[in-house]
Amino acid sequence: MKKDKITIAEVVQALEGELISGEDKLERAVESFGATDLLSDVLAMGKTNYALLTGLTNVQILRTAEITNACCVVIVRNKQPQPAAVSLAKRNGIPLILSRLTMFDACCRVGRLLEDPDARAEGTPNTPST
Amino acid sequence: MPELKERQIRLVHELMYQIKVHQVMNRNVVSFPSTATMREVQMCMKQKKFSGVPIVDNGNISGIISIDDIITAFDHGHIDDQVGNHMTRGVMTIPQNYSVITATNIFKKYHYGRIPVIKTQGSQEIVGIVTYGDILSHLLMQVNAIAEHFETMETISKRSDQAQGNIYRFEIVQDNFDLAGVASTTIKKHLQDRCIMPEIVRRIAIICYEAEMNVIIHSLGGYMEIQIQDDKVRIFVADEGPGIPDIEKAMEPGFTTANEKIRALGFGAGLGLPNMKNCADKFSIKSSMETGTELEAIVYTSPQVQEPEKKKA
Repeated sequence: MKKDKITIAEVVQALEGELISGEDKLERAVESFGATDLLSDVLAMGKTNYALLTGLTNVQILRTAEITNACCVVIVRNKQPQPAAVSLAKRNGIPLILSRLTMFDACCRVGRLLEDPDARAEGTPNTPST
Repeated sequence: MPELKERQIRLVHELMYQIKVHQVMNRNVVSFPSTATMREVQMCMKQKKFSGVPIVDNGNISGIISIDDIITAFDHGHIDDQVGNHMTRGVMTIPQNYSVITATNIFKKYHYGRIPVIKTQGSQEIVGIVTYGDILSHLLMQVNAIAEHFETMETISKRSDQAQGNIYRFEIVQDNFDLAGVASTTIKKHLQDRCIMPEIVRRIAIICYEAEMNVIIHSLGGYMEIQIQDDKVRIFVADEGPGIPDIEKAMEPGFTTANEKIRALGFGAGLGLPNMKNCADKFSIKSSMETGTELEAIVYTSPQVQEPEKKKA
């Protein structure tokens, strides 16, 4: 069964992530996902309200997210974002999530989140599953 | 600018929370058992220029010897005693994933000169040692980098404030990757303020961003001018060269001349120009090896207007 609404909070939980900005947007819906280290691709893929999973840590991931109306950015594999990226995320209130998972594992988790409503319900007891 | 100062002060505070102990600590740690002599420890400290050495017995941290302890040992003539008799016991440790603000608070409260850093909470495995100086120098470096960044940002936004009426002009500097996207995000906000449809704003912002990136990466510098009209937005970008030898080839998706450095940033995949064309309703580019490249893109903003030349991706 495909889920129609996943929140940023659920993404944070599924990716065992640490949210470092945009705390007020946790209940916003994530419409789709994109995973790439190629920002040129992100600019060309034509998605909006998507979660961007990336291994990049520079300030351009936040600018690209802002330009393309991404709803959150996930940095995978336990990398630390550059300070300029963090301050831009905070200033613009874009949720920036740090995950220790590899890109592949993070994508698998997202896949499960999209496919399996039970796993999601178990994992997030406090979130109403609409 | 008072506002700028305020932001910098807030940043220092934010940084104190963001910077983790493992980012600033010294990983080069030598420890001794409590059966070692004060002299052995002193020799090591002198040789490696350490100001403190943790004492570890059977994998447990039992104490710490600082330079003060060594001086006292010379003074009182017990330099050949075992360190176990003279070390400071009950050592405060800090897990490596804690923020430096916690370390700073410990320094302030207990007047320690250094704290051994442990792998995780509750662990006895020492992975580094952190001093007040380590934190301070890391912090100063970061603040300096950010302050420089903001100063340039101020100059750019001041320039854009001078925009006449509905024309916004942005200078774009060659190789200035830190500021890539500032002009585009600024323009995006202006368009949002004018209640233009989000999807159209997004297309315009993407064109501007790709254009900015192209000028930064490939040219000697140039400018971007965005003209907001009643029914459309016109984006005009000009650079000072060196020009594109074969525009048809440059328009092919995947064709790129970008180097490794640019690719490491996540750009330079050869998708920029085709993507701009896809996002625009009208798109034209001309380039000369003498005067540089000029690019014009038009996006219609009112829904009534048909999009005559809109091409599908």
